[in-house]
Amino acid sequence: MAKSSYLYFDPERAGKLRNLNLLARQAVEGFISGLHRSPHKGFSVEFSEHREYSPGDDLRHLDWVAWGRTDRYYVKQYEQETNLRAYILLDVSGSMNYRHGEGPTKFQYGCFLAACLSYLMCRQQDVVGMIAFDDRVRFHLTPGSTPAHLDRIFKHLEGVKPGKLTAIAPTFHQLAASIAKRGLVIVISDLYDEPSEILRALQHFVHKRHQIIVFHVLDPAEVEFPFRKVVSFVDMENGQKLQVDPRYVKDAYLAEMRAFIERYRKECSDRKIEYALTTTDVPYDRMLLDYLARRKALVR
Amino acid sequence: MLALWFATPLLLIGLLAAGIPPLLHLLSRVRAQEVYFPTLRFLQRSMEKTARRRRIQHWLLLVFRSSLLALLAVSVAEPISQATGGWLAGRNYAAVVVLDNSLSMGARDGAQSRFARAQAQAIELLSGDDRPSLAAVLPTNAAGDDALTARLEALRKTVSETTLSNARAPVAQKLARAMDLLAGETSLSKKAIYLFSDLQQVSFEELASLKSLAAHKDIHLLVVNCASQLPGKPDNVAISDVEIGGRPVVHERLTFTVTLVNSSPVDRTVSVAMRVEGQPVALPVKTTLRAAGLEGDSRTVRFFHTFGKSGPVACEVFLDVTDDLPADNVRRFALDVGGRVGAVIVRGPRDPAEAPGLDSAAALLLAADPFGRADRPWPVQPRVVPVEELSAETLAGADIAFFTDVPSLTDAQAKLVRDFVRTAGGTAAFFLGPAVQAENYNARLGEILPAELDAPVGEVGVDLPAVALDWVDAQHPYFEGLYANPRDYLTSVTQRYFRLKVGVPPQVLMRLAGGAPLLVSRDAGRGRCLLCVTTASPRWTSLPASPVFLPMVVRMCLLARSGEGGGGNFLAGSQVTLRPRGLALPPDGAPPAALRIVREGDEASSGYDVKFSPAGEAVFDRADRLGVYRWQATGADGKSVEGCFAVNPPGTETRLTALPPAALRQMLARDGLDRVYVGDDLSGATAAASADAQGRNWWDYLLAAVLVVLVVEAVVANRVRRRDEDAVPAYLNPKIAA
Repeated sequence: MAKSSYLYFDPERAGKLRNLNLLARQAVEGFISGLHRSPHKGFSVEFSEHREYSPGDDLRHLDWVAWGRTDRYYVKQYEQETNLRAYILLDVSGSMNYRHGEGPTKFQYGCFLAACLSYLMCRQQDVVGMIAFDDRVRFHLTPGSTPAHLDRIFKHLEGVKPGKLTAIAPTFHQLAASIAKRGLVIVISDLYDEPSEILRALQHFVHKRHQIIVFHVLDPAEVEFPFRKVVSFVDMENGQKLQVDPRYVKDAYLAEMRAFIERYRKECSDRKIEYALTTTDVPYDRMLLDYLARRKALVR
Repeated sequence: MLALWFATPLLLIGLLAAGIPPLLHLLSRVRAQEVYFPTLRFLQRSMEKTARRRRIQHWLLLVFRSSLLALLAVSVAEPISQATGGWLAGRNYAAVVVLDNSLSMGARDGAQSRFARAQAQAIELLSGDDRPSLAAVLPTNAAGDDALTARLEALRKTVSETTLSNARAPVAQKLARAMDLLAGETSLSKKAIYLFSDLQQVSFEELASLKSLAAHKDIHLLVVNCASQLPGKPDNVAISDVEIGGRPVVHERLTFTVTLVNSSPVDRTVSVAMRVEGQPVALPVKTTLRAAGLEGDSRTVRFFHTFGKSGPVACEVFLDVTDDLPADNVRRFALDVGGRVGAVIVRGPRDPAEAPGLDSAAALLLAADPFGRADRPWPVQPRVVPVEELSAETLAGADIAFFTDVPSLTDAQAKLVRDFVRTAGGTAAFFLGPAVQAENYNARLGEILPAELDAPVGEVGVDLPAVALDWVDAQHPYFEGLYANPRDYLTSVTQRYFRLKVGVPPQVLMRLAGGAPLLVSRDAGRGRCLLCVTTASPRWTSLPASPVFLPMVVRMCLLARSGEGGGGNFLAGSQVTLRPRGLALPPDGAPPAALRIVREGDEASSGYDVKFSPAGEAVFDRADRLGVYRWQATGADGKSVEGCFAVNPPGTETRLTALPPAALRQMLARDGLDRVYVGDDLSGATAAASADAQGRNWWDYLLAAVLVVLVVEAVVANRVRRRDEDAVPAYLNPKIAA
């Protein structure tokens, strides 16, 4: 396979996911026939139910077997399969620019993830939009599924730089209000904002009948806190400093982090929001492979 | 009240290390590295939650780490708790001071002598704050106190008035006496013996017999080592012994073997010389001795001298050296050089037609005086007497009588011979021959003969068999040192000899192949009887022609001279017994009233008059000072008899190397004496006793405390290693969850 000219897209890695589809777990409103169930009934391939014939119905859908048994006219109704309208919300705030070891930053990891998901969805004839945000929307690409659209997404990802402050909740509320048709919302973020606000914003999407997947991206150092010597930590968003002896605070920090993650896990579950925690030392393609495989099993 | 004492206080410098943790803490605060982190919200909350704990931990860690280092420093310094002021502070106790005043204590191996140090320390004990309630002083070489007393002032006076002796220290004897004194004291439970000594090994060898110390559990032995601990000390070379080889008679070449001992820690080269009556008799000999403890730290030097005239003579060997102990740089000895040894050769009837070569008397005469000339001095003066002329006058003045081929003796002659041997202390040597009547010998001389004679065996002839000499007692003075190779002694053969009747001969000196004795000896009364069962001529044996014959006969003559008679060498402090010879006694046989002894170099008026015992012996028990003592006694005829003797220090006292305290403790511990405490001074010995008796060495406990602090420190510092899986739950760790 030819080497990619995109910074955040590796066709070879994406190729590993070719046998997997990102299916919506609930009905989504699409505009073409696709893989996903549509709330509109029609005459497609998948049988749904019978309905009494009424004038004007296409005689091709008349169920002759039912007429033979009941002496009544029934037409077969089919569940319409439609394509998916997905929105990828990528956090590009300052905290996403962190990495402790040799791996990618959380921002880079998110970009890889977003590019791969975009490719995956376009490949299955879904339309995908991309929104990058920190304390405001940095760019907004409306959904599309053409290769040109995919190229636009990749180029935008390459052009965006991590910002400073984070304001996730207001941005989510704004987006939830602006997206009319229900679809799939994929959030890629470290979720470093007030959790209750973020969860309320995610609830807004749920209320608008969107299906939500949250990819919670963290650096291994944030989860394991491997520091030993006394260090002066500098906040990447506001520049605040704090001198810490890791030996004293490690346990407390890990407990805080555990509670933070646990809260998102539980609240997302309660709200029927899919939650996936990942760290940047796990290859994104392997993470997606595992995630999609697990999800596929659940959808069936 | 307890005080703390440290075995190695120098190591307390390690306490400075206690300041390291605060120092490191200060430095580490300055050197905090800046690190970016996505958000501080969790860290801030963690800091708030742990602030109090961190503050406590922070101070605790500083305290633990500082105390850890301080404890380590204190523990390696070996803290020992003890009663303030000493192990017996504030207690009534009884003590016996055993003061070593032997010769070696006179060594001046510092600003003062060992003995002066011992006196000062003993007085300190008797006058200090921890002085005993009851005490006694026992000098090792002088009479001591008979009982414990509370009058310490008098004891201090005893100590200061005690003088040095030149004898060795009977430490064991004095310790036994000290224990007797303490064991008899029942009013005080605490008892101690303080021994002030320089720890010479020889002084302690007899301590093994002191089992009684092990039995007295309440008696402690505190040994104060008074030898100097200065580097390069002791500095001493000594003459530890002079051995005289040969018989002190005129014209006899004597050998003087001088033993030198180096106690210095370095090699020493010394010059040794010898004087007789103040006149040098040999060139000084230079020799190098290796440092003490090495092979070669003791050497021998030999001098040879032949005395030309008889009489008492004083000699000395001396070192040309200056060292810590001058007293052992000279060693004197006195000799009573006798006149020529008188030898009477009594021979049996001789056939004039017989070949001169078969004359056994001639053979003995030739052997006893090979030169036979008046102008050639020889220590033996032999003469030949026919047996029929044997009488009391013949034997008068003789030291040895040879009887060769004498057929028989009359009763009177036999009695003369028996008296000559048994009473006069002479030596009778019998050589047999064809004329000898065995029954006569057995009947009349059986009292002194080593064994009864049996019939002669063997035939004499050119082609007839001969029995080889098979064994000679090469260790006997008659034969000792003649030849290096034992085979050189065995060069004679014998064809005919008298067998000895069954019985155990007292001493066999020569033996033929087959086991038959050839020469036997027996001490009889004050004298000796020798019996050679073959001829002194080549008639029956080739013995007279063998190399061993001549020196054997000469030695028989020389050794027949009695060593008694006024000359002598004695160790300081020993009892000198004098038996003047040739002193004319009055008709009743009573000895003179007294014998006058004057030490050389002293005024004549400061001499001693020593009374004779009824047995004619004068016992002098004040030979404590070193030197030559000359004595004089006047007989009933008005003629005076003179003599001299020398008093020297014990050779073992001249080796100044001290027994290491650890070796002393180990040696005494083997004998069950485990309450022995050794120190280089009074306070050191007392401290050692305190550590054992009342104190406690806290080293082990402190080390245990260090370990506990280490563990606590590790827990507090959260250093206990935990696995990452423990720190992060599995479901939070994607790597594990995957």
